Amino acid sequence: MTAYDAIISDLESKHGKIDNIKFIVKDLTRPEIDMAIDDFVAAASSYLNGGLKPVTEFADKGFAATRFER
Amino acid sequence: MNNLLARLKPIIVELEHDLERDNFTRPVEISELVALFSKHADREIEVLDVKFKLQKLRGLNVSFSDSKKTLIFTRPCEESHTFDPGCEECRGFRFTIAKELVHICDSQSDKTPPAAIRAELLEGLVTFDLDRSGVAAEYIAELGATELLAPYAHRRLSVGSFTEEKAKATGDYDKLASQFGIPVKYAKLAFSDPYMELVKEARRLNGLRS
Repeated sequence: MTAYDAIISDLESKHGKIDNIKFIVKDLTRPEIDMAIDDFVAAASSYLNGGLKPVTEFADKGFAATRFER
Repeated sequence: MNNLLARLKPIIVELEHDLERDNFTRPVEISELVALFSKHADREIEVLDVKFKLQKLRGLNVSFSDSKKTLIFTRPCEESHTFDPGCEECRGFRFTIAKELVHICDSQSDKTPPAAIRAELLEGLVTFDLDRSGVAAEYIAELGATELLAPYAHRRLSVGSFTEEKAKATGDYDKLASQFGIPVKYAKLAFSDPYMELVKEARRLNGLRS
């Protein structure tokens, strides 16, 4: 079992069956594909260990003062 | 575009209603998109701040069918602690989250199951094989994110403005990108005449105001 398979199994143990995974990546070389998967494994592992901070404020509220021309 | 708008229709209708109530004087905020997707897609959405080693990697979406939970892993701008509309990296952060939200509404054939991620998505992206539905879904999601952060009903009002005409004349779309909080590439696309026509027709077919 690869690290990727193991983390998928752990995620599914916590939240049920995964039916969709999307990565935003273009123009990747093969080593970069491996890096992207490693990044996914690391991110999911941190999440499962409670090491990731949920983003609740997107800090774009001040941006709401923007005025649009007509 | 027709299918995309059909899937996003309830979200776009409510979003544009809210913007219209505010006389289209404000841009779309990410928190309202998260709330709209939670409501209309019946999803529990968690956005998580993560540092990816691969710079090209901006976001990940993991959706669970049984629990109706979606995890969005994303990398915020490392330069700005608050959103800076003049920062392309900040605009990219907003766009990434919007794009990952659009994936919540992927059709069954556009979904990528865990076992297919390498073969059907990553390798497909390398070869730009748009016949692979998982790959095509990435491009469609970009259009979806554009329609959410710079909704057609809002863009239409900016057509003919000094900023829009200047952007078209000079090719510099940075100010429009700043106003809507989207990357320059997508501001340029959003205001192009062929794209506006494409969206207008797709909206008409979907019963959205065009």
